[in-house]
Amino acid sequence: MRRFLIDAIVYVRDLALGFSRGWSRFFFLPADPTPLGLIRALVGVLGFWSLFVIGLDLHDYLGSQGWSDAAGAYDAMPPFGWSLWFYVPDSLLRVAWLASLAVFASMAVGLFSRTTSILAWIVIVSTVRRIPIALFGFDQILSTMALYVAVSGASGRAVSLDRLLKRWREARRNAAVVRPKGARKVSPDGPGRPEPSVGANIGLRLLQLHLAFIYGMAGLAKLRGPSWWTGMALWGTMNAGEFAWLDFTWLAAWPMVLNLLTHGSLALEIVYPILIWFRLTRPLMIAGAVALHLGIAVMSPGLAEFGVAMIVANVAFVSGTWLRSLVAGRDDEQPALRVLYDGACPRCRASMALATAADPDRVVEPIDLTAIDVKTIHPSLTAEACLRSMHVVSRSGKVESGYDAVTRIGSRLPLFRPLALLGRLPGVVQAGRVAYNRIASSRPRDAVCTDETCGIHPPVSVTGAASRTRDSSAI
Amino acid sequence: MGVPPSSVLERRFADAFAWHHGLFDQGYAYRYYAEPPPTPLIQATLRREDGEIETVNVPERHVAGPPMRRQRQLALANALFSASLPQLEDPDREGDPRRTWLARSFARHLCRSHPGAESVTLRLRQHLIPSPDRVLEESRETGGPFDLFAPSMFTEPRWIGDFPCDGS
Repeated sequence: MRRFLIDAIVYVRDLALGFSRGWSRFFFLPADPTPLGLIRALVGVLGFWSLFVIGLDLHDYLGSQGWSDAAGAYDAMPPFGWSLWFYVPDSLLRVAWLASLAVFASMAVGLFSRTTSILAWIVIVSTVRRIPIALFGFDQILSTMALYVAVSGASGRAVSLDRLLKRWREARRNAAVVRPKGARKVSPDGPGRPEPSVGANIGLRLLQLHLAFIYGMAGLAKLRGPSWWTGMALWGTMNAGEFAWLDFTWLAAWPMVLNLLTHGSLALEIVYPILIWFRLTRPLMIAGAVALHLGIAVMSPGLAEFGVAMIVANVAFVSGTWLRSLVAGRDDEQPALRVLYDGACPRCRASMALATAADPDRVVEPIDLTAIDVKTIHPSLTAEACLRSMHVVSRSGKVESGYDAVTRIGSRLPLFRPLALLGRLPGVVQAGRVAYNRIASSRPRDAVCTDETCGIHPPVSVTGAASRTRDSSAI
Repeated sequence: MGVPPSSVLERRFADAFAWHHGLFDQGYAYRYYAEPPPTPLIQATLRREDGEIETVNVPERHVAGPPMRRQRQLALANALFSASLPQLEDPDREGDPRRTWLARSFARHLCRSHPGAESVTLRLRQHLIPSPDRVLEESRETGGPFDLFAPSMFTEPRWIGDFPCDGS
């Protein structure tokens, strides 16, 4: 008996200690904020879109005499419920709506992230409480995501203008300092990959737990429905006339397909809360969830936003390192570009500072050509040509210069990728090369520049040389 | 957790967090599509002073703009349906305050958005989901695709209330 009691006490003590350690490890280890930053951006986009659509019938929904009149809606609120929309007079409704859209836009781009995340959550909850009669699953998910993004206070640490601007300021400050041998450092203090934080981990963990709960509850509730047991539930969702936009009635002749889809989606919802926590099965669960929600979006366009919101929430389970590698490449693929820039040219330094600030990892390695022998970077390079225009050497050994180098850098940085794509359109390329060469040939430098050292020539004479693309295989 | 069907223990537990649910907009049950139901639709009949009658459906079959706009209108119909369910199931039952409020609010809004309307009658109907057997049978008979919007796919509109537009 004594032995039994001692063992029981030891077990309870070990259990409590294990729980305590697990709790700390689960919630309070620093985590990569990249997924949270991405979720913040997408919640901003979804919140903007949702409010924009409500704005198409603004007074019908949020006006004091809309579908649900303000007095009745106020009385119908649950205990402790609140909504700022009750305090906005009809005459100012459009102004408040525009301001709210601005909040979502700022949240999406990550400007004043901490503040706008809280404001966005306030707008979302206010809207939910003002028009509970016009909501569907999408609003619940959006509200939950916005809450945890706001609570974390760390969503601006990645995928945000806040971070970009901070890093750009650092890079420009660093660029102003002359280092030994005249070389300049044009990159920010920290690395491109965002620093892990406890706040990010708390936000992501809360999202993960909530998402597992949502799938679990949805799955358990479905077990009460006979059609989920007979394998025909998806027939009902695919052939509800008010939701469907494609004709799925032909599936009546394919009951086995309907059975498979029904049992498959139910199985996913039931096992998701368990298997999502295991590294090996996590990708399977996320892929299943994405397929499920894309399927819902295809079956019913009105629920597309719900599907997108659920997919966005699933990002909480995705590794930040993996997400970043999608745009920056794997560790062993970096730096993807070595950029030779003129360290004596303030404009060049500022450009490089911007590029390195926007670098999601170590995609771009800036090299001040005034401090090195350029032939050590690539045998085909000459100091004269490099002084004439920016040169980029890819990992494959491909060398590009001038405007082509600029678009190459842009194409590897997510922020500038759209511009780089536009910049490579026929016509834009030619105009871009002319503009680049003009700017490069007239650029100011720290030191007095002569033709011999800087290679400043009239634009016509540098166009061909500066923008020519060379391949190492041709050397 | 406290949403029916639930145990007394679950309800007590959920009640303890009522402040949290209200303050932070949490506490949803997430019981999506436990059994795919027919879709409720609002049919409003507006009578004008000149005797003309106008019928408004919420939502109409085609709503301009993004699909989400129509989705919100479907939610309106669903809200009125949920609030009116006790009355629809038991016509002798006294109307509860929430149903009265919501139906009145809908009616008032329709009156205001349709100037000249003297009164509005609200009805609810449901868009049914056909069984696979019915689809196969009718497809065999007609030789064409099944029409999800055929009149037989809608229930008879059920009366919710008559509301004068003068607010009385």
